[in-house]
Amino acid sequence: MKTKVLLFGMLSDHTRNPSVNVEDVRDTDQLKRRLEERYPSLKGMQYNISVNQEIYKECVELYDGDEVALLPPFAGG
Amino acid sequence: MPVYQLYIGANKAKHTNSVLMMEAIKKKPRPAFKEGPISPQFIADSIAKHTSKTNIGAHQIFLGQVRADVIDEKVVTGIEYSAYPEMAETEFHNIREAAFEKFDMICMHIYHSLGLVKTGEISLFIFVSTKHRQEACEAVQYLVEQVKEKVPIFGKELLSDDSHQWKVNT
Repeated sequence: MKTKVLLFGMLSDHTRNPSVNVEDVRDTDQLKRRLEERYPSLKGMQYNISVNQEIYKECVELYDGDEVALLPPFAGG
Repeated sequence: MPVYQLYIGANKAKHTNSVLMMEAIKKKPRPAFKEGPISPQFIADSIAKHTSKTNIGAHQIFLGQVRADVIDEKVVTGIEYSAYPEMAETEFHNIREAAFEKFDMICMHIYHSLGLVKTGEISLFIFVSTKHRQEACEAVQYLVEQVKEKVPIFGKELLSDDSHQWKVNT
């Protein structure tokens, strides 16, 4: 299973890409670990994870076709 | 109250049939995002559109303007706004629905910029119309806080030495 992860704001500075693919991750904790291995500068960054446009503070399972995004602090206004 | 009725329509549609549902989707409010700054002319035109709604007794408007903050002796020259557009439009929609539940508004509009907005230009326009002033003041205050807290919008502050830093709402 391939999960597409969208990155916004300052986080895309770290990956130098607005979206990255991660293979075979079963939940958001595993996805987070995998991304931080690949992009160590993400460690310590403040962000929330959304799955299908809903923010989850706790770990949630991922399924094929889920839309995952890493959201840094908001700055609207 | 056209916008309010529209949402009641949308809720009913969920429980009736798909034809009504499609009607509700078609009637979804226009996107809140506008490319670039929100012009004073656009704001003036929005006010003018309300002259026929004679049940309105009070308008309250909030305008967010990009400030020339000084950061380590560098000056902010503008903010480049980006967003998670699909999630942001859903959040704007939810904020609207909640506001109509909470306040007795005749109509309300929210516009936010995407892309570059230079210092001194407007990036957020919230416009609430009610029968009486108190309700309008409270609703606008609520809406500004909700937009800042809930809508996935990101701001890259462009600095005078061509570097940048990312804005964070406090």
